[in-house]
Amino acid sequence: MRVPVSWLREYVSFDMPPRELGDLLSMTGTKLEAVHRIGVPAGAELFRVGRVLSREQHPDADRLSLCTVDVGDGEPRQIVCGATNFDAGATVGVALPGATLPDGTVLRVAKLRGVESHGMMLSESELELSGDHAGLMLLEDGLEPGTPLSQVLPIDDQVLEFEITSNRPDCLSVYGIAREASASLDVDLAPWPGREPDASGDDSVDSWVTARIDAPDLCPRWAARVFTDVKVGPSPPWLKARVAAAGMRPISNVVDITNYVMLCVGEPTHAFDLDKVAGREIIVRRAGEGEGVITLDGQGRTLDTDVLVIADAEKPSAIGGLMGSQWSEVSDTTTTVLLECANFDGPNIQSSSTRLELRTEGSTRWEKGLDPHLVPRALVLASQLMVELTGARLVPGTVDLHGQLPEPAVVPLRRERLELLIGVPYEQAQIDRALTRLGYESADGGWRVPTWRANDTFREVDLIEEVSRIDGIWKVPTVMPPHADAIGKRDPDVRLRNRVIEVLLGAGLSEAVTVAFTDETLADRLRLPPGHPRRDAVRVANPMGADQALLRTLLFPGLLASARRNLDAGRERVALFEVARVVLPAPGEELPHQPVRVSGVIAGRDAGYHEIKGVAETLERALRVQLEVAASPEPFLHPGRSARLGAGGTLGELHPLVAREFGVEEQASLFEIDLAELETPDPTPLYRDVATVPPVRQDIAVVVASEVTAAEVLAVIRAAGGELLAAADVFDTYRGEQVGEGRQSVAVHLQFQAADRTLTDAEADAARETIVAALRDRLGGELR
Amino acid sequence: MNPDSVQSEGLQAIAVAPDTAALEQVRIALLGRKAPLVLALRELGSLPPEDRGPRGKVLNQVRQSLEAALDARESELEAAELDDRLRRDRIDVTLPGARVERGFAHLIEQTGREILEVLVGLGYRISDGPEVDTVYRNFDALNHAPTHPTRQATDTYYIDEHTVLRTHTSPMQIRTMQSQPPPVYMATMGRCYRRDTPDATHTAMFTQIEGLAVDRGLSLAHLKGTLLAFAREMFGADREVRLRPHFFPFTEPSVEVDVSCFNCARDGSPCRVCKGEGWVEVLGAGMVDPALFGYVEGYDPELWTGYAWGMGVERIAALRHAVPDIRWLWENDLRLMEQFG
Ligand SMILES: [Zn+2]
Repeated sequence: MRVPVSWLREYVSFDMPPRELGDLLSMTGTKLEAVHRIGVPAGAELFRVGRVLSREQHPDADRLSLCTVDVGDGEPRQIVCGATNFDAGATVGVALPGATLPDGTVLRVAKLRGVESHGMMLSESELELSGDHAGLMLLEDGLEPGTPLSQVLPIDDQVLEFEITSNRPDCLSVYGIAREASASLDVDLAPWPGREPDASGDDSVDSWVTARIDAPDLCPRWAARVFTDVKVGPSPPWLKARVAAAGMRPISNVVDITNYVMLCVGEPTHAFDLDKVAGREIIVRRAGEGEGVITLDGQGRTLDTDVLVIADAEKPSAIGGLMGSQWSEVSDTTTTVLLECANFDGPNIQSSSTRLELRTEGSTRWEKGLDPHLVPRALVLASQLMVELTGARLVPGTVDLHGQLPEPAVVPLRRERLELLIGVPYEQAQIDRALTRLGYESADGGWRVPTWRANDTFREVDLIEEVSRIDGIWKVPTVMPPHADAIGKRDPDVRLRNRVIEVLLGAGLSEAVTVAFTDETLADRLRLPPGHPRRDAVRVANPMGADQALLRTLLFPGLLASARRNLDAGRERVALFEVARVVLPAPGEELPHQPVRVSGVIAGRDAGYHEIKGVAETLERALRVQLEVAASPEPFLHPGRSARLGAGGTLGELHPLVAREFGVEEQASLFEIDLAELETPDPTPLYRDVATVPPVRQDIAVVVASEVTAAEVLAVIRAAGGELLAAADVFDTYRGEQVGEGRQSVAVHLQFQAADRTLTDAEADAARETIVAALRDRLGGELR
Repeated sequence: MNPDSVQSEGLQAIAVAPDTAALEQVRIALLGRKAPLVLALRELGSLPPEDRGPRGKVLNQVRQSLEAALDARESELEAAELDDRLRRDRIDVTLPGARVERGFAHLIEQTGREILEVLVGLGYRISDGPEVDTVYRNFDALNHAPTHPTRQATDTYYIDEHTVLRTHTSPMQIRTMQSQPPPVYMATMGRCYRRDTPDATHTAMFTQIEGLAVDRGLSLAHLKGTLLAFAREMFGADREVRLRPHFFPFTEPSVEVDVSCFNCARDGSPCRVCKGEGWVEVLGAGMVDPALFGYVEGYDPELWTGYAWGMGVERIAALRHAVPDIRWLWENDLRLMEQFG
C-alpha cells in the first residue's frame, strides 16, 4: 500500500520525519517496505501559486504569449508562455528561476524571441502529476498568489510503502493506515473522510433505477446513488496527484473519484453510465453458464455460474468486484452516473479472480473480506466528490439492499491473560488507550470490535494481539523458559540419519541435495519395462512444468545429474550421496509411503562395482549391521555387476545404456537403500575380549567351480566352522591356467578363537579340517 | 714388537680412518687374530713367569686404549654418516601430501544440523516427518481460513484435494501434539514446497526448521529468550533480537524476528547484509494460536500456552556465508561445497 504523506497528514498529525513514522509502524504491525520521494528534487520553495494579471501576444512569435504574473513578490513578473488554455485571471503554478523540475531541468531567466521570461507557468506533465502536457495546469481560483505550491499539490512529498498482511484489508487504505498511526503515536484520528452533500430535485433514486439481489450469498449488500448532469473531464490537479502518488493512473474525474474513494477508505466502488444500463435495471446475480462479457480492458470473457455479475435487464454490466464492462463504461459523453458501493463475498471473488485470471486493485481488497458497514461511508465520500468535482446533481435517496448485517461482537479481555502471554505487566490505562485508538469500544463484558476488524478479531487472544502490538512487543524481555522436564535429544531415526551422513563423509562421499520432482521420461531413461513396479510414482496435480510431474521414487538419478555437472567442471572422479525421502504410492492409505533413503553414486575414474560395494560395506561395519548381497538385476544396472543390498536395497554398476543416457559414460556405480535397513539390531553391544585370548589364524585357498560365489563359499565355511570360527574373510580370488578351465580359487583368512582359553594348534587344525571337508562335500572344493 | 709404537701407530690409524668400513679394517689390523698385539698377548704364556706380569699389563693397557679409541671413533663416524644420509634424504617439504579422499557436507544440511545442535542444547527433541501431508495438517488444523491465499493451487502443490506437498514444516506441530500430551519441546528440519518461480532467494523446494514449545506459563518473553540464545549461537555472542508484529494464521500474536546485523558495526555505514538497517529478518514466530489446541486432544488453552517459530535454512546459510543466490546451493557443485568443508 502506497501512502502519500501529505494525504496521511489530513487524518493524523505528526512531527517526526516520515521514515521514522514508517519505522514506528513497522514495530506495531504495518511493515514499511520503502520510502519514495515524489515531486521536485529540491528547492520546493521556488514553486508558487501565481495569478495571471495580463496576457498579450508575443511581438515576434505567433505561438507565444507575454504574461504578467503575480507570484506574491509585490512586483508582477514577466513570463513568456506557449500554452493557450488560459486567460488573464487564471490561477496557475509557477516555477521561479533557479527551480529544478522533476526531470532535473534547472530553470533560468531566459530570453524567448528577444523577450525575457522570469519563470515558467507549469503543465501537469512538467510536474509529473500526469501525462497531460496539452496546456497549463489550472488551479482553484481562490488560492492566494505566492502560496507555496507544495501546500496545494504534493510536489514535495514522500510516499510510504507498506506491506499489508492478508488479515488487514482495512489497512489497504490511507485512512486505515492513519488509524494505525494514531494508535501507534497515541494521537487523535480525524473523523471519517467525506461530508454528505445536499441532494436536490423532486425525483428520487427509485425513479431512476430498480435493483435487486438474486445472489445474496455472494453479495450481502448492494447500494448505489444516481448523479445527473455529470460533466466528465479531467480531475483537478490535486486529485490526479494523489491518485498517481498512490500508484494508480488518473483517467477522468468520475473514474478517479471511484479510485480515490478506494484508496482513501478501502472500499472499491464502480461507476456505470446509467443511460447504457438496459432497462435502468440492476440484477445482482450469478452469471449464466457460458455467458459472455467484454470487460473494460477490452477482453472478451466467458463466465460460469460461480461468477457474480451486476447485470442490467439484458446482459452483464460488470463482473461483481472485479471489473466493469465496456457496455456501461463511463465516457466523455456520460451525463448520468450510477455509483455502486457494494459488499462482495471474499472467497467467491478470490476464486473468480483466479479462474478468470483477472486481478485488480478491487479484487485484491475484496478477496480478503471487507466490512459491509463501509458502504455508507464510501457513498458519502464519493457523493461529495461527485458533486464538487463533476458539477453533478445528487438525486435524492439511496438504493441500499441488504439482509441482516453482522453485529459487532463484544469480546472479553483479562489483563492477567494478556500479561501471561506477553510476559509484560500492563496498566489498565495502556490497554484502554491502545484499543480505543484502534476503534474498539468499551462495552458490557468486554470490548466491542469495530466492524472493519470483525473478520480478524473475535477472541480474547485477538485482543491480546492488538494491545501487544501497539504497546508491548518492543519491550518484551528475554527470559529462558523453565522447562525443567525437557531433555534435548534426537529421535532414533534422526540419530541414525546423522550417523550415516558422518560415515559417508568419512568414506569420501560428498553430501548432495537434489529436487524431489521428476518427469515422465525418467522411467524410460532408466529402461524400466512397462508394468515395472518402480514405474509407479505419485503424481503432482499442479506441477509448474513437465519436470515436476512426478515425485521421485529413487534418489540416484538426481545424484547422477549432479555427478555429471561436476565431471563437466573438470573432476576425474565424483562421489556423492544424499539422504532424503522418496514417495511411494500407497493406495487406500491416508498418505503415500515416504521412507528416508540413502543413496551413493561414484562416477568417473575408479567408479566400479568394487568401489561402491566398499562404500556399502563401510556403512555396514560402521553401523554394525549385516546386509545380505545377492546377485539381482535391475533394468538400470549392469546385469552382471549388480546386486540386491539387504532386503530392498540395490547396488551395482550403472548399465552402459543408462550411463549414456545420463552422460556418465566414463563409469558409474551406485547404491540405494532405505535408512531403516541400516538400523542396528544391537544398539548396545557387549564387550568381547580381543587381547587376553589370542586367535589362531590360518589361510586356505579352495578351488571351486567358477559359478560358485564368494558368499556361498563363506556360508559353507561359517556353517562348518562352528563356535571356534571367529571370522572368515575372502582376500583373493584367482582364475587361470593353474586352476583349470571353469574353476576358480578362493582364498580365505580363517580366525579361530575360544572365549575362555588359548586354542592349541591341534584344536585349530581339527576345526580347519572340518571346514575343508565341508567345502569338498558341499561345493566340490579342493585345497590348492 | 714394541707396544709403544703399536699404540701410537694404532691410535694414529684410528684417528685418520675416513669411514666405518676403513675403521673396521684398522680394527682387524690392530686387534684381529693375526694382529701383532694379539699374537704377543697369546705368546705371554710362553714367557718366564716373572716376565708375564709386567709384559701382560703393558700389552693389555695398549689393547684397552686401542679398543676405546676404536669405539669412540666408530660412534663419531656413524653419527657423521647418519647425518650425511639424512642430508641426502632431504625432500621438498612444500610438495603436496598424499591425497586422502574425504567428503564435504552440504551447506544447507550442515547449517541445519548446526541449528538443531543448538536446539538440542536448549532442550528440544528433534523429530522428522513426511513431506507429503494432508490438507488438514498443513492448513486446516493450522487455522488457515478456507480462503487463505497460500491454499490456492497457484501457490501450493497438490497431490489430490486432501493431500499436498507441505508448504512449511508446521504440520509437524500438529503431528507432535497428536502423538503426545504437553509439555512439548520439539524441533524439526525438512523440505517444504511452494509454487514459487525460482529467484535468488526462492526455490520451489526449500528447507525449514520449526520449533514448538507448549508448557504451563510460556510467554512471548520465553520465545524471545529462546531465539536470543539461538541467534547468539548462530550469529555471534553480541547479537540482539527484535520482535516485530506480523500475521501468521497459526500464531497469535505473531511476530517477525530480526537479529542485529552481524556484518556491520551498526554505525549506519552501508552494509550489504542489512542494507544499513542494522537488523536482519531471520524468521517468523509467535504464540501458538489456541485454535490449534482445538484440533488435538489434551491441550486445554487455559492451562497450556506455547510458542512456535519457523525459519528458512537456506536463508540462514546464505546470510552467514554471504551466498548471493540460494539456487546455487542446489547445484551440488563441489567447487562451492568445498568452500564450507
Ligand atoms: Zn549490516
